[in-house]
Amino acid sequence: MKTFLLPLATAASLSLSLLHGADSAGYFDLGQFTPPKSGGTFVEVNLKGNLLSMAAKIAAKEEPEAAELIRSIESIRINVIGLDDANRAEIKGRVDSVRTGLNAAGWERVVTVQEDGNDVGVYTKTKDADSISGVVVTVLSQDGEAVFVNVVGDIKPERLAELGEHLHLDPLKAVKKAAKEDAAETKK
Amino acid sequence: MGVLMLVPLTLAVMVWSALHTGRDATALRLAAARASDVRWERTVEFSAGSWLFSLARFGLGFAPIDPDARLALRSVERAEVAVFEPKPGASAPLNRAAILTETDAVMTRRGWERLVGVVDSEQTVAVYVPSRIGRDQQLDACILVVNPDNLIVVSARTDLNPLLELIGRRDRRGLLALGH
Repeated sequence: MKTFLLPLATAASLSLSLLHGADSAGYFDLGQFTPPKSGGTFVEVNLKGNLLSMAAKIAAKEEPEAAELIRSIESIRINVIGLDDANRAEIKGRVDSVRTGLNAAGWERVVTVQEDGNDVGVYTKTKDADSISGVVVTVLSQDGEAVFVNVVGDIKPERLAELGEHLHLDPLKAVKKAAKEDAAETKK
Repeated sequence: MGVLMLVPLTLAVMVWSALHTGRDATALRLAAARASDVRWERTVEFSAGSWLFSLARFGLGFAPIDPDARLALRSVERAEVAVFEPKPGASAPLNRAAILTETDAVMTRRGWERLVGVVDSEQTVAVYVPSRIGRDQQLDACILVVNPDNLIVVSARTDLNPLLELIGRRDRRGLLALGH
């Protein structure tokens, strides 16, 4: 009996982690966010596991390419937080903290934009020469909003622009070129 | 005598359950009401379980309705709706930030997780799905909308198979229309 317990427990914990993506290399814990007390914007989306599979099946009927892209994704987390006087410093600190954590965990910063009051950082976790296991996007926009995104999966760099279009994230469109250059460097 | 009592009792239970939402939707509504700092009163509340939908599908089987409408009806297995308004005089501003915190705590304990949360100057919207979604084609969802005028909870279970068939039918018709 005991000989079965360890592999069974291991298989169960592995399948649980696969369902939730938390232990996937491309997952990064962005932490918890609370709505601004002033009533500013707060949006949070958490898509994962079998829900994404269902979305892929629905999309397959009309957009087979979009369905294939969805199937390559394990989880998507999006947070949009409006900035006010009460939370601006804290959220800016969170952006810095996330970026520091990503650097320490070996993520590569592939896009940096600091202009016109916008501060954008896009990080990727490379799986191999042909795919990315995770993308994190952090944005402090001049419109007074902070955006945090983590996409986990087995994503081809050339599909990141398409993913950016579906998620309405312009910074992702710039990743395609940067990731290809990085993959070419890795092959050398 | 016992059997005779059973019929009206069963009917009473069916009527009562049709006029009240299930436990998860009720827990969501109570958590939102508690966190909102507003006293609410019921405007509408009803629950249509699988038996009622089965009855509707059976009855409408004899009616000349659009095949797509029939398919759409097949995709819904149960639905519950509750609509509340602030009690007269209960005009305190909504504590929007606290609503999600409270409803998340309650729904997490009941085995649900939040799929979407939106808070802005007008309202709070949250969509909850079960933490463990099976590989079959059924999907449960609890939806909360809170604004100064209403507190609305909708809970539904859908079967994706008829929905996918409906989408497939509409897609083919679209191609036919393009051909003309």
